[in-house]
Amino acid sequence: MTAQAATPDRASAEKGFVLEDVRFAVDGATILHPLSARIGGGQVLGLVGANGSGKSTLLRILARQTAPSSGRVSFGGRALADWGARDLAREIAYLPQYPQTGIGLTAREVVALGRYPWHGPFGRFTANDAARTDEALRVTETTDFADRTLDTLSGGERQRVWLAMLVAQDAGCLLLDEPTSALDISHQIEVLSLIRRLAHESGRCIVIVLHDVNMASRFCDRVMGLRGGRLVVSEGIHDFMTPQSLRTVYGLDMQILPHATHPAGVAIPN
Amino acid sequence: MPRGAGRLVLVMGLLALALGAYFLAPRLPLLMQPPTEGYDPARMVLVYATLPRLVMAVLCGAALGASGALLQQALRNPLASPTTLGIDAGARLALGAVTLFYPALFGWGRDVVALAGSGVAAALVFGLSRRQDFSPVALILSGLLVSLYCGALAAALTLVESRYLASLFVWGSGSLSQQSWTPTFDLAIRLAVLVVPIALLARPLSLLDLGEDAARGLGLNVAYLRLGAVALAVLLAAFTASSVGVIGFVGLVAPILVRLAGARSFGRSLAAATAVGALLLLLTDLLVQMAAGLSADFLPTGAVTALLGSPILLWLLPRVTVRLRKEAAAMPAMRSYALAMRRGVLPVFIIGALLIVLTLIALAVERAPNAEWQLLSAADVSHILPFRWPRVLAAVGAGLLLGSAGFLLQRLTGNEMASPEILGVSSGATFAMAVALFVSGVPSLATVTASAALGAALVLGLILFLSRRSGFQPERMLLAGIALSALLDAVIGVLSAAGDPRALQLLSWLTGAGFAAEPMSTLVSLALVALGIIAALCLVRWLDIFQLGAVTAQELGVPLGLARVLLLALVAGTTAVATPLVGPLTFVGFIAPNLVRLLGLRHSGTALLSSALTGAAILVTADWVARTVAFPFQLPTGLVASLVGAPLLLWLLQRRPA
Repeated sequence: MTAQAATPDRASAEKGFVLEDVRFAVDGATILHPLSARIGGGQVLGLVGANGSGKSTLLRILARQTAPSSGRVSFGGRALADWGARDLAREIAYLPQYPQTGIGLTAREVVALGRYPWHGPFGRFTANDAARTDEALRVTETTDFADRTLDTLSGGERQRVWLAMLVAQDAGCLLLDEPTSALDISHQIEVLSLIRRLAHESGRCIVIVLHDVNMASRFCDRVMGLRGGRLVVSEGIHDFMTPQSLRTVYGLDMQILPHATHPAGVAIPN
Repeated sequence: MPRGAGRLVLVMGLLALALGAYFLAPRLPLLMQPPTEGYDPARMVLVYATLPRLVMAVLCGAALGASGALLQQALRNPLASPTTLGIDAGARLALGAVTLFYPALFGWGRDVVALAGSGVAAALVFGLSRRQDFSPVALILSGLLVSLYCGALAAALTLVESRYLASLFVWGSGSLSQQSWTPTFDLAIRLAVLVVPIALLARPLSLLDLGEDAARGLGLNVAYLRLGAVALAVLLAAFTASSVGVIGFVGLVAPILVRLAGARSFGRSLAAATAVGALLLLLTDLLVQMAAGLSADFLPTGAVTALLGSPILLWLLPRVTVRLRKEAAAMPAMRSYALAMRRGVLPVFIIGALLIVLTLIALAVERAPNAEWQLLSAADVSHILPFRWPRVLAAVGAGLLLGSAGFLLQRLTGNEMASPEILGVSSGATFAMAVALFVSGVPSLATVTASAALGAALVLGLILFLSRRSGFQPERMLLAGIALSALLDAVIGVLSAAGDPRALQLLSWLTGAGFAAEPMSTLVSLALVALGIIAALCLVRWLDIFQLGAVTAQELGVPLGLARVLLLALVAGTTAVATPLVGPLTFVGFIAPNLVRLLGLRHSGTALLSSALTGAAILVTADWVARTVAFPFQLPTGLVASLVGAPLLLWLLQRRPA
């Protein structure tokens, strides 16, 4: 993954989300307490927190997969609900935690479907579309098995194909729900490096749910920490990597050890 | 007050109690009186007809409810029901064949013959799916095929020898009328034997909710478990069918109702489905007896069940937000064939060429008046061809339509059991055609086509109306379609069983025997075919994306609701055009897409065209066989289509390595 990620087609990639008192409840149980925040471009924002803290719900609301029970979400200055489906898909790409299984299409065919928001139901699949599909396969190192069907791939390979589809979708904002959960350590590093480059070099806005504190420390610029459906921490990565913040989010005492190459250090439970 | 499924059972139970009390109150005092000497008809009717009939309703309903719950759990498909495994069709075929060819066998008892038929059908289903380790898709496909095949054969027998088989109409619609307690006791004993094994299987079966891999990880032998559960479900349904005939709807609808009412764990839903099945049939039968009075014996309760069950289903459907589809039974991987590796359009050309050859054969090869096979001679071309080409081309057109409609629907719903025949659209068309038949006596083809289109449009509108609140979730549209379809079939069934002479004409219509094509209408249909296929090809990208799941489709900016409505409208439109041509029961819309899937064609455009061409090839062949094989008699085209298509599909199903 040495290549530069392609720059987006649109003029300004720096659109962002504004959330005002966003709340989500199911059957009377509040999953997400009223939450206000701004999420902007050019950086990697990590969503962290214990299981059931509301990270995935927040991500689904940003992706417009779920409507909030109350409150307002806007993207690029327009209410999220007012966006047309394809217009939004050109701006926001979303990778669910558990994508559909049992797909008989080849990896390349799946990645090519990521170009749908650009050509639509009737437009031609242009040379540019094909080039971007190839590029996405290349940067995610999935070219080798591009012609195998998805259900013959390993879990990690499949996860990288889904990522490739998102890269091909070429949106200004990527919402990723644990995109590295099935990857080995070297592919985790490579995928997260790619994601970081997408943010820093082409100004994309990345929101990523991560479980591993030390991966968050290494690849995120900012962190929003959720606990019990409440936003308890929202700060830069250096401020997050302190025993106090970590205890606030995880309820666990940890110490921060220095690391030779990344300055925020690594966290080890006591 | 209990919640969820418990409340449904309670409400239905109270209702049944009230109706039962109202119905029996004037009669029960008869039991209290000391038996009078000699002949007492009122008492005899009560003791030997009314009471056993009510008990029979409870027993049959319970057995079918439990059978459906077992099947839907074991096969992970909410559309599975005893009827889909060929049990009823096997029994019906056995009864028909024995009546015609070896009536002496009835000396052993009618129920033994029916049971043997069901048994053979079930054994066939198991044998066919053995090589795939009894996977759900294999079981469902083989079940539907056996069912189709036996059903088509039985219907063919009925059409040819209708005088002798009139009673099969009544049996086929499920009549509960009784003359003694013996059948009731027999059934009760048979069912009682099954209670313990079912109870033993309930807990392992509930593990299937975790997914097959997880269940296997917990130490289950999933294949044997499924086999056992399906075998028990088959026995339940076969015992029921052998004593009262086909009561199709209860087994499908009771488990669905229970799930809609909120039952989650399998143990609960099995118990609740048993209760709901029993109560549904009891309520229906009480209503039938009260409404029909003395002629109740001739009004088959089985056919009427849908009249009560469908409205409940339709009422519940938009009101609940439960997810209906359990974990999708994974579509079989399709990578075994050389054909699968070809991504180009070659398969389309191969199937297209095959279709052309078959069409030419259908036009040119015929039986001479002395029944010899011959080629159409040059001298006869101008006399015969003007009559033959419209019919052959109408078959091509109808096949193209049904093949593409079936493919669209299976992609839209992600359910390999979906076909335009069960969507209710064909039933709507048929129903409207039936009304036209009953109102005007001898309707013209134009009237028939117009009423078919109207009926199809009405049903489509209703389905959309009922599923709008769920965002046109495919699963719900399918269920709404099934409910409507059952409702309309019930009306048709009652008409048939009531002995109206027009019923036979209706049956011949249903099976596609009234196949009359005129040049003008054929050309109009073909133009519509072209329109429909072009429209479908425009939506191919959506179909591709649907394979990635609803979340990803939405993520990519596909307008889900609009896409679903458009696709469904297209399916309904094509079905409506095809139904008056060949009747609603060809199952080409089910067979063709499955054939294409087993051939390994994945790409939506290629698969759509192949499915359409395959459908046309099947129907052209069927029509030719129907015209020639029993010359000078003609067989119904729709029936022959099942007989031609099903073996092909079976052969492919067998070839596919597990």
